[in-house]
Amino acid sequence: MVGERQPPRVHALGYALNQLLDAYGRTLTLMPALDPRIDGEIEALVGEMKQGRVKTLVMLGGNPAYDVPVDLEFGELLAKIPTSIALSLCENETTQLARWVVPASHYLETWGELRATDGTLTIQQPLIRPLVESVSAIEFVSWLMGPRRDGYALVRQRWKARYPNKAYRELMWRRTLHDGVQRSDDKAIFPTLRYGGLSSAYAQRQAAPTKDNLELCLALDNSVYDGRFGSNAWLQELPDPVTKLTWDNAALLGVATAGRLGLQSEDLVELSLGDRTLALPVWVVPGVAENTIVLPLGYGRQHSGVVAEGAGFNSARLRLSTSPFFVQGVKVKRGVRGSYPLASTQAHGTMVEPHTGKDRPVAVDATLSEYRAYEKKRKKGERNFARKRAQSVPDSQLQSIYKETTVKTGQQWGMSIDLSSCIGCNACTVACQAENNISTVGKKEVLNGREMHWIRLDRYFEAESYDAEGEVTLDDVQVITQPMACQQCETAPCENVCPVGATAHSPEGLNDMAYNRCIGTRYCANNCPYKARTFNFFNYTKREDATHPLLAMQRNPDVTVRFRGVMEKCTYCVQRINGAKIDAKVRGQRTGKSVIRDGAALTACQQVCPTQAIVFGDISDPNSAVARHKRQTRDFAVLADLRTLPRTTYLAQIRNPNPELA
Amino acid sequence: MATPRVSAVEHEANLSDPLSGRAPLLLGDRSLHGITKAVCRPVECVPSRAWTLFFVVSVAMMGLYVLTTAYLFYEGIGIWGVNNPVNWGWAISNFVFWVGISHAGTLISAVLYLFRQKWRTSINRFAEAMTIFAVVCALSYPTIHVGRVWLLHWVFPIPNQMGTWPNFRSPLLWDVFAVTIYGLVSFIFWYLGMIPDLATLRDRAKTRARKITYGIFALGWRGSTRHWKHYERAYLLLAALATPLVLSVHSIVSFDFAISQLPGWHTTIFPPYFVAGAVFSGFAMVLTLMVIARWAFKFEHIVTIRHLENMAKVILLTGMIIAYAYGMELFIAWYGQNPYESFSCANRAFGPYAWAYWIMIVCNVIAPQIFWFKRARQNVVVLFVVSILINIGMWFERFVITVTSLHRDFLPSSWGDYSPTFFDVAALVGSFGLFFTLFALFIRYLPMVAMSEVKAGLPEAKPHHGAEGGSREASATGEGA
Repeated sequence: MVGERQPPRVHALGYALNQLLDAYGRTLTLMPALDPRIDGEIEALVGEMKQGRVKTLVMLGGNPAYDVPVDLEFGELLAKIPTSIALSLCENETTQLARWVVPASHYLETWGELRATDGTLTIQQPLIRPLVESVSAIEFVSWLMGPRRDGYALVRQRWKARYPNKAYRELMWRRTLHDGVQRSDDKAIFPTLRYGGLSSAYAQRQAAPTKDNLELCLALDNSVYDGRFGSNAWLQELPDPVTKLTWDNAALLGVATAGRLGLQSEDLVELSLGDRTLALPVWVVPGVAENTIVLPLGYGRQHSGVVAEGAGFNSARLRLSTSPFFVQGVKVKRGVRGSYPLASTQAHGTMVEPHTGKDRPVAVDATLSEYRAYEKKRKKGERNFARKRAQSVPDSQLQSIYKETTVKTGQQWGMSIDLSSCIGCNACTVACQAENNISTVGKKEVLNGREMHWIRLDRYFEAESYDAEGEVTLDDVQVITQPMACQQCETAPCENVCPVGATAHSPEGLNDMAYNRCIGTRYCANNCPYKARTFNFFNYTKREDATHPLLAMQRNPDVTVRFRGVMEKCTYCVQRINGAKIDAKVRGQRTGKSVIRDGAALTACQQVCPTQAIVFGDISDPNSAVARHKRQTRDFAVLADLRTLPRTTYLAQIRNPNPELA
Repeated sequence: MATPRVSAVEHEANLSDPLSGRAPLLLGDRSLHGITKAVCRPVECVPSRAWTLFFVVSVAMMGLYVLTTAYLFYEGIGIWGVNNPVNWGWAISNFVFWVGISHAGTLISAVLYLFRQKWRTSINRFAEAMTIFAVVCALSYPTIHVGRVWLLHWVFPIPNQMGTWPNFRSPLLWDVFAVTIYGLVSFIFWYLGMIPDLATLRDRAKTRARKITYGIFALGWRGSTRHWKHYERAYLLLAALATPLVLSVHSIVSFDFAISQLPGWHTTIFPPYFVAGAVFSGFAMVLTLMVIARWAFKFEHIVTIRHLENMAKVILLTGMIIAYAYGMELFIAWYGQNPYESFSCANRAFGPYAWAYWIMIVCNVIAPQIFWFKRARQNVVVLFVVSILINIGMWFERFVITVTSLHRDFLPSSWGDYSPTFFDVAALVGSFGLFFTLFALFIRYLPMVAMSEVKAGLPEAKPHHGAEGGSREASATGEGA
């Protein structure tokens, strides 16, 4: 697959390769586009605006004043249009310039009809009445064209056209609402390629950047995308999967390029492209291609509210219509203002200790051949591959300094996380934040090391060589991502040390928190080897709620909000377990069996994981998915040497590199 | 440093080798009345300008503590520099520092009393007062450093309608008991020892207010033989009771660290190491204060160079013990082959906080070595400078233990740094304000030397002056010396 930012010629080459591999219909299915993007549309509009031929401009969503390439000067032209109307969910650069602004409804407040890329149809139903007086895009368009109609009527009208027979229409409507989707009749496309153009497409390729001709790569940000999610504090505070930066973007440079330019992380530089310049800090990330500067888009917003404003730098100032994503010849000038603090959530980037140079086997990562070779020779009773790597001695020689819980009744909860499947997308972190009412704390507090995420993604670089500080010195790196939350240790070090017993073990193996009982000595967090506990150093909930009146309505009513001075952490979504327990009891009144079925209680992180890397369930049931996962020979516990007996274990990451590509 | 009242010959005799004979503990005017006059003078005279200035500055510093604490209660722990890997910072360092300081008092009054070390009489009151005030400072930290201070009473085993008890497995709870009991016993011991002297002040009082106030606190002491008999028995019992506390308090404080799982904290050597460190720092603090007080209040004939030298010897001994402990930590880290432990040591010595570690080594291990030299032990300036260095070094020891262990523990992903904020600094400076305010009040209103005990230690207090079997002290004193 070719990335969407690549120019058409690269796409052509990609299609040709897939054709050669005979991929169509087997590993790759092409569907007809519903809404083909036409290059040059915006340029055409801008051309007409320049000539003064646009008297009225209606903008449905979007933020063209911010994200149209700067050389088109959309913002300046917009200000000159006599009647400009923006339908927008929130204030932004465009609403600032538009003559009229119409508040748009949120998609969860509106009726609509949606089609997926494969043609699947779904009816969009509102989950809530609009919180403020607003209109949806279809309602707005219908207003412009005729009498005012609401979204429901518009959708029903469309169905009327689709199914003239009233009874059948009603049947299909109800069925689609019930099923959620209606399968599409769209047929896959099998493209035919004209190979003639390929050689010229190949000939047009850009030369690799050199040290005198640096390449600038404008990237869509992992959190705020092109800036459209900039007002979402969850996303602003979500650490980038690789750089671990929050609340900012930066000029990302590889180790070698940064070394050659004499730059370090947080140094301010001035990038210039022609006569356009942008001053921003540098962040050194191993693995960025040599002589390339990666610049995430979507930051440096204005007129966009307290969350988006002041976060990062507007990379769009170097984004031209001729080179929207890649351009060579960018110049780097050392800034005079010194440095700029960037809030990263991970200070140490590898599993290698400074000074001693020793490796800590925290996240096990190996090649398929290493794994197979060991497992083949493994004798009965010997540790599996992953445990051999992760712990220094066998379990029988380990002892915990804390007593193991003896009371184990009911279902025993456990979790297995597959490192081979984890792609580091961060969905678990945000899902957890939404489910458990976890506060965002802002850049200053992230800089203070006080971010509140209950599940975080630990990112480790691995390379051939490391410096004295234990950081990688090469750009040829492997990255391993390890989701880390409370491990629900059976011999939990945190429980022993709490003077008031605010954290205690449940008979089902959960390490529970009694928030009301916590007095905030923070001893538990000190003694947690996984540093999975977070503390309310300030009244973050109150601070957050003060930023917008709607935030208090967003909280999950099943989970308490925490006051300042209280420790908090993951509890395997105990509220969901209890919810499932109640359901099971109700069902049990009919069937006589009242245990939670495997898969009936999903943790929030598990539910959203796109690769299903997280499996949760009852480990005492040998047939549960989690028990089956834990029986794999890739299963290991982090810091098993401490004998904390964590209920969360991991499956080692096994890579299968192609030796010909290595 | 000797005042003109002390002759050179006497001064020399006072410092003579104890093996060849015991010199008198006091110099100059050794008459009973002379001692009473000297000790009572600061309490009975109009406060000097120096005292007033000292008091005002101390109260101002204490005011800073009150304000910063008020803001802390209002805003939350976030005003400090603590963060996620480093959940304990200066507050806990300060707590352990002050608990350590508090050790000298009880050691001097109780342990040396049981060992019949008579030289203690000149300094014990002072050291005990220091103990009480240091415990007050120490206890203020665990109080204010919890996240929800208004629920602090939950750490006490108070019967309640919900039937919830504190967690008796937690070392923090042991701490609550240990330090509270230590503070109480030290206070009772101090007060009991002061009763005869309070009676002296009452008897000398010229105003009605003083008569009544000292009269109440003197508990009707008339100095009868029966009084003395009961008093001495009670004092002995309390000394015996306080002695194990000297060992237990800091052992239990060390459990806060040793019971945890953290590399650099989870160490069996901690209890004796902490106790030795506490005595070390406590003596250093007594020395610092004593050098100033004996000069300011002209007590050089009561607290002689010999007293200071003895304290220097205790400092040298305990300093060697903690040097051994530092060395043993490194040895065990290597010998034990625990990778986390050895990294923790490497990180202390070479990591981002290496400067703190080396300040600790220089101040606590290298600086006291000068006390091998007699001239250094007898030089007030050297004693003062070294005692200050040790105070600094011992604070850094607690900082190194607390912060460097926490900032890089098990998972490299969670490592972080710590830096104090203005409010951390204000809390430390402010606690000195609290300490000095209490001290200023003490030297203004209470006898800072145990007059009755000093008098009982005089050669002439022995009825069988020179003829008593076991008393080498009396025989060696000889009035002609």
